[in-house]
Amino acid sequence: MRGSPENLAALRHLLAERFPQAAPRPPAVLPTGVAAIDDAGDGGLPLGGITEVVASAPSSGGQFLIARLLAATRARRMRVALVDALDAFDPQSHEAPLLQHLVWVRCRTLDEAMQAADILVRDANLSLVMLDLRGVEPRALRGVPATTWYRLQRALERTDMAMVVFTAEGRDVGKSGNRETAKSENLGPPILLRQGFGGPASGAPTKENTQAANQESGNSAQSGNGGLVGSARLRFNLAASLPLDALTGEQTGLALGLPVEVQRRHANEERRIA
Amino acid sequence: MSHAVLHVADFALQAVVRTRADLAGKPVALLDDRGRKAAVVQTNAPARAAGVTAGLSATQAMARCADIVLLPRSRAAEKDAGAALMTVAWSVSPRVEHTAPGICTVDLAGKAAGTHLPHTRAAVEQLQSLGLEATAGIARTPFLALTAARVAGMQRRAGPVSTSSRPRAGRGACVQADSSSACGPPASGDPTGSESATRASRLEEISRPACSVLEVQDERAFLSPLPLALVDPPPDLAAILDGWGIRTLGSLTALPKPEVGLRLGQAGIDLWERAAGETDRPIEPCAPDATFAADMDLEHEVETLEPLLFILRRFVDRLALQLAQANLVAAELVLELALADGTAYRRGFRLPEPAGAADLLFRALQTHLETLRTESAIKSVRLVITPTRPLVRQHGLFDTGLRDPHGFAETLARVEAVVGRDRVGTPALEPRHRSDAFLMGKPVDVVGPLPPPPILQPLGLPLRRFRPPVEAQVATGPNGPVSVRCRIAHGEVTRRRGPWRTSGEWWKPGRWDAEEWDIELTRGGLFRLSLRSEQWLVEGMYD
Repeated sequence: MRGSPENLAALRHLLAERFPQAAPRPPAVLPTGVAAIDDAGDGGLPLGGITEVVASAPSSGGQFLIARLLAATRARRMRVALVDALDAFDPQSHEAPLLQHLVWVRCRTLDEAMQAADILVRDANLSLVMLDLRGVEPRALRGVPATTWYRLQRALERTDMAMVVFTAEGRDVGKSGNRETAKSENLGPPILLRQGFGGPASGAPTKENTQAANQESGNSAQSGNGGLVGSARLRFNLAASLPLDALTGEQTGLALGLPVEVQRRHANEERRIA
Repeated sequence: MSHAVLHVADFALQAVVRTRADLAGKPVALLDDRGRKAAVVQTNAPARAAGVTAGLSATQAMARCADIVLLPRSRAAEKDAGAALMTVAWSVSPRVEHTAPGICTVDLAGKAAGTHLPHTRAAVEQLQSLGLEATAGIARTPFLALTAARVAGMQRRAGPVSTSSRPRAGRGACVQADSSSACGPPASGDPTGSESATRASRLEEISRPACSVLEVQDERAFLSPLPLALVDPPPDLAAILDGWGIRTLGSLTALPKPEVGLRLGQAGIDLWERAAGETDRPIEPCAPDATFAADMDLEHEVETLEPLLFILRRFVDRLALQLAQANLVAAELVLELALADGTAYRRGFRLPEPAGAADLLFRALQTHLETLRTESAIKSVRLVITPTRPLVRQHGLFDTGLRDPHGFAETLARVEAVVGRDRVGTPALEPRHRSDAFLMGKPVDVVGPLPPPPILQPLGLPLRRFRPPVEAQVATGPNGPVSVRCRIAHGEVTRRRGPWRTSGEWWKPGRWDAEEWDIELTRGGLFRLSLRSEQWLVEGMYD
């Protein structure tokens, strides 16, 4: 019978046998050491793709996430680049050995940061590129063409490099769209897991893709999807400000996770085939 | 014993043209302005095709070809081209003689006979890549080899050889047993003689028509049809022989040698021996240059990047070849530019790993020069390479060194070009308590394992600095700050920690003395406040 589940399963089985290289592989990830993000991101940050971390509240743990990423990558003896758009990184907040693998790019403007990131993502010696755009004027950030983000995405594809873009533009995350709520025992606040991430799938920036991304990035505040990086594969929103006790790690569960909201791109290869 | 001669025709002209990217395909003539009236001494093929020949005045040359570019000689360019020629010759054999400008003789003794032709051909191709169109001759004696190289040059001048009617051998090359139907006559000398000469030789014509190597096998048959002028007869003897109707080498050697000696004396015997190919001489080999440097005074000051890169590429290609011959690699490049305003620009490029590839060396220069802005035009350029032995190292199984050290260095250089030289690197903490004290260092080559004891994962929130700190208006109460107003943060302070008083370096002008507070605002946000000289500052946000 045409279209029956049995036939479909048999067809999938046949395709998997004939074309084993096309079979979906478990996604390669870079563990962050932050349980909330690792859990939501299938074990960590996706390699070969962009992850956007939107810090929509002050003191919500963005810099803490950078510190955890530095520690996680240092333990694995990876090489990391931090493109610091406003020269805000504070080396004194970190242990000296955790900085040995870091290439810190101290930019002054958004243009410098985007150019530096574009150069760094093409270097095979790096395992992680962090692009910190927090503090950049929102209007300037929204003015970054979608093609720039796709250019970065294209450079990252087929590499084992992860890229994290920190922005501070997100507001009203999760006002619309299909929402799922998941709770973790490690975390106090709930994690919002929203399916149906707007925008095109990863791949070539076709006209339709670009238009969609433009709409998404240009209308992010209105549509409420909270991010500016059109080609991001995964997006987290750090939406809650942390209390003063967080300065010494006294807040319960802080070492395990941050209060985050997660958006996941729907166009996952595995789901597509399924 | 066998010799090869590499011959660069119109050497002075080619030496100048190879340093100018804008002259490709244009008619160019070299002027000798030493006399009262500047005259054309050398021309390239487009100029010859337009009717410009040696001996014309500059005005006559321009009358025949309006687009012709007239250039004076450049000693610096000739010196560099000569160095390139010698470097290539040393790639064939260690015994090389600098015979004349544009001519070097290579002693092939000790090399397997089957390698003479391919190695000489490779040298000609190498010269082609260095911007010098050369021909080569292989023969028993230096004189014969030089003659063969000249004949090959004359055939090349006469026009490219059609390859359609000849069998192909190897990669685009053809071995020609009889080139009479394919090769045109030389520009001077009788056409028939040239054809016959080529019959007695093997012409290895490479896919590029400008490169040719002539190997002499039957000396007498090769020499016989060549014009007498090739053996440089003294003028008085040349007139006598011309009167006798003797115009080729074959017609001279057809005369009995003793009879020629009786009538023309010792000079006649010498001429006869040269014409018969009997003259031999030992070559005077010279030693390769132990320094790896190239420099050039530019005739016209350079204001744009392209001509400078063109010259540097020539330098790098030659020096890389020189390094390879010495089995060395480059550890550092030093570029020196003399500017028109009398100042000089000097920059050293320490390579991440010693390298000898011309592309790598050139890229290091190019990446830097693409962002360089000098105050005035460049009038001379010098490149010095510090050589070292090739690095032989076996990486450890668990080493996490750089996958591509040169690529990483290039990446850093490109990022430096965008953000500034002192704004890229690995931060290192200074052993001081001063706020925001750190140094920017060079990224490490190998990320080693973490030293014991194990470092705990960071628990508290790091600071996100505002550089420079933001001035703020802070209202204080008995327990410290109660409200803050600035462009970064404003609101009531709900919780606070402090004060922490720090001071240091009181004996220096840059001493510091501050009172620091960590505060939490009602609307959210953790900030570090500091009170310095009665001024409140927001140093950063804990994030």
